[in-house]
Amino acid sequence: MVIRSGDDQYGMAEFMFATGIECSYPTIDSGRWRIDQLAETKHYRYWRRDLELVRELGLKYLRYGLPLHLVYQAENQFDWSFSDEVMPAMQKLGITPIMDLCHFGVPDWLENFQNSALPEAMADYAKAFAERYPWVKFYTPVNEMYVTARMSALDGVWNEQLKTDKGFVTATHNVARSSVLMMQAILQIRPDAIFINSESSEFYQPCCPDKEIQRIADFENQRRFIALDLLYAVPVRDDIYAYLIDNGISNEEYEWFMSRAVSQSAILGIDYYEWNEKLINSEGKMEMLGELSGWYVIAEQYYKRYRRPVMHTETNTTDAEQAPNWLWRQWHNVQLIRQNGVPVIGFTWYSLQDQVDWNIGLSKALGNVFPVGLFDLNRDPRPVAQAYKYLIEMFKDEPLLAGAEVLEWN
Amino acid sequence: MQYMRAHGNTPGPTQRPLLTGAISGVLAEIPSALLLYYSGASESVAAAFGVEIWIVFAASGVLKVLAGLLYAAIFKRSANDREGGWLFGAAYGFLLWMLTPLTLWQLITSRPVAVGQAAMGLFGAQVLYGLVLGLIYPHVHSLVQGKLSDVPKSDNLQDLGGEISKTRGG
Repeated sequence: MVIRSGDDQYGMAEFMFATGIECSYPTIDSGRWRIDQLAETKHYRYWRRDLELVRELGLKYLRYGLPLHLVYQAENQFDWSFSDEVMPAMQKLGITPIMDLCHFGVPDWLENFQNSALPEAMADYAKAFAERYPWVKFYTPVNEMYVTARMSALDGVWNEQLKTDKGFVTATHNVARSSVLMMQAILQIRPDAIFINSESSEFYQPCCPDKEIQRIADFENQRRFIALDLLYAVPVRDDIYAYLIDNGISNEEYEWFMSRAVSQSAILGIDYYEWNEKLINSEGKMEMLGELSGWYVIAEQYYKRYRRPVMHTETNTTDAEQAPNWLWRQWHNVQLIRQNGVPVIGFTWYSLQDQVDWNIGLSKALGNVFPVGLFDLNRDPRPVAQAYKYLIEMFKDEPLLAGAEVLEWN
Repeated sequence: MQYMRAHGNTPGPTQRPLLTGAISGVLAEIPSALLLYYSGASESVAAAFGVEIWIVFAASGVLKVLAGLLYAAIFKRSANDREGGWLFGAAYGFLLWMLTPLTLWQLITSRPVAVGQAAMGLFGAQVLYGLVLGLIYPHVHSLVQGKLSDVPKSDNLQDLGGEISKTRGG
C-alpha cells in the first residue's frame, strides 16, 4: 500500500484529527447486567447534538460504535433502526466515521468471547454492515483485543468473567480470528476499506533486579502483543508459543494466522492512558505506575514490532482541569515521533462526552460520571474542548506524513 | 460532593455562571414573592423588622439575586444539569430557609419572624425559590452561554498562541 501525502486516493489526504463516542457494552454480574455506555452517557437521546459538536470542534473523523447487542439480534437478523437514523446524519454533516464493530461485548445469543462460533458470526455482521452502508471506508473490527481478552477472561471483570490463562488464550484467539475474518468480509464489499486496529499500549516495568520479577514483567510485555501478533502474522517467541499451545491453541490454528497475507490497508491504532504503564512490584503483583515513559516510548515499541502506519486512537485524563495540559503533552509526543520517522497519521481525544463508571473499569454499574470528555453529559464544553479546538485550528494544515512524501509498506 | 466533583468544578470555556445565576435568581424570585405575599409571610416579616412591606420585597429581591450568584458559585457546572438541577435547587432553598428566616433573622429580631400560616409561607417561599432556581438555571444557561466558535484563526498566530497558553493548564 502506498500513501502519498496530499493524495486523496485512500481518503487520507490530511492528518486525521478525531474523537470518539464511548460505546462499551460488556456484561457484568455473571451476565445479569449489560453495561451500555451509549445509554449511560445519554447518546441515544443526544446523538444529533453529539454529531453537531464533532463538527463544531472542527473535526471530521469520529470513532463510532453501534450497540452491537441491540443491532445483532440473532443469526442473520439485524435491527438497523438506530443506525439508519444516525449514519445518514453523519454523512450529511461530513463526518467520516471509523466504525468500531465490536467494543468489549457481544450480543447475548453469542454469549461471550469463549464462543468458538464468534469469529464467523462477527464476519457475517461486518459484511451486513458494509453492505448496508457501503460509503463507510474506515473500520476498527474489534477494539482493543488485548483488553477485551484480559478483562473478560484473565481479570474476571466482564462477559465470561474467567480468571484463567486458558480463557485468556481462547478469547485472544477468538477476537484475533474475528478481526481477520471481519476484515476479509468487509474487503469483499469495499476493496479499498482501511482498518485501524486500535489496541491499548501497555508496558510492564519490573520494580527491581529480581529474576522472578523481571521474568514476570518480560512475560507480560510479550503477552500484551499476542493478539496483534496473530492479527499481523508476526511470529511469537518460543516461550509464548508454548504458552499458547499449553492453553488451548492448536498448531493448526496458530499457523492459520501466520500463513495469511495480512491486509495491506491495516493501520495500528495505539491507545494511551496514564494507567497503561504498570509496575511489577516486589511481591510480583501489578501496580499502576502512572505516566513513566509516555506514549512516544511505548508507541515506538509497537511500531518497531509491526512496522505499520500508526494512529494515536485514544487518550484522556481523569483530571478535567489538567486535561488541556495532558492533551498538549500527548500531541507533542506525536509531533516528536513523527519527526523521528514513525508514520503517525492521526490523533484522537477519547471521548467526545464524559464517560460513566470507567473509573472502576466498568466493573459495576454505579452511575459515577468520569469527567474525561471534551463535553460533559449536559453537552457543555470542558476546557479540553477549547484546547483541542485551538490545536486543530493551529495544525489544520499538518501533512498526513511528516518529513516524507510517500509511505510504502507491505 | 462526589457528584459535583464528577461534573468538574471549573465552569468551562463557554459558561457564564454568575450571569446565569443572577438572571435565574431574579426569575425564581417571582413565584417565591407571590407565595410570600399570599401566605401573609411578608406582613409578618415586615412587622418583625419594623419596616414597610415594600422594603421586604425589595430586600428579598436583592437577596435572591445574591442567592442566585451564590448558587452558581457553589454548584458551577453541576448546576447545568437538567435532570438533577431541581434537586440541587430544592436542597439549596431548604438551606436558605434554615440559615435566614430560621436562624439569622431570629438572631437579629430576638423573636420568631413568623408563626402559623405565615411561617409555612416563609418556608414554602424559600424552597419554592430554590426549586424554581434549580429548574430554570440550565435553561437560562443554554441561552446565555458563549460558543466554542469564538477562536482566533490560525493566521493570527500571536493571538492564537496566546489563547492556547491560557488553556494549557499545568
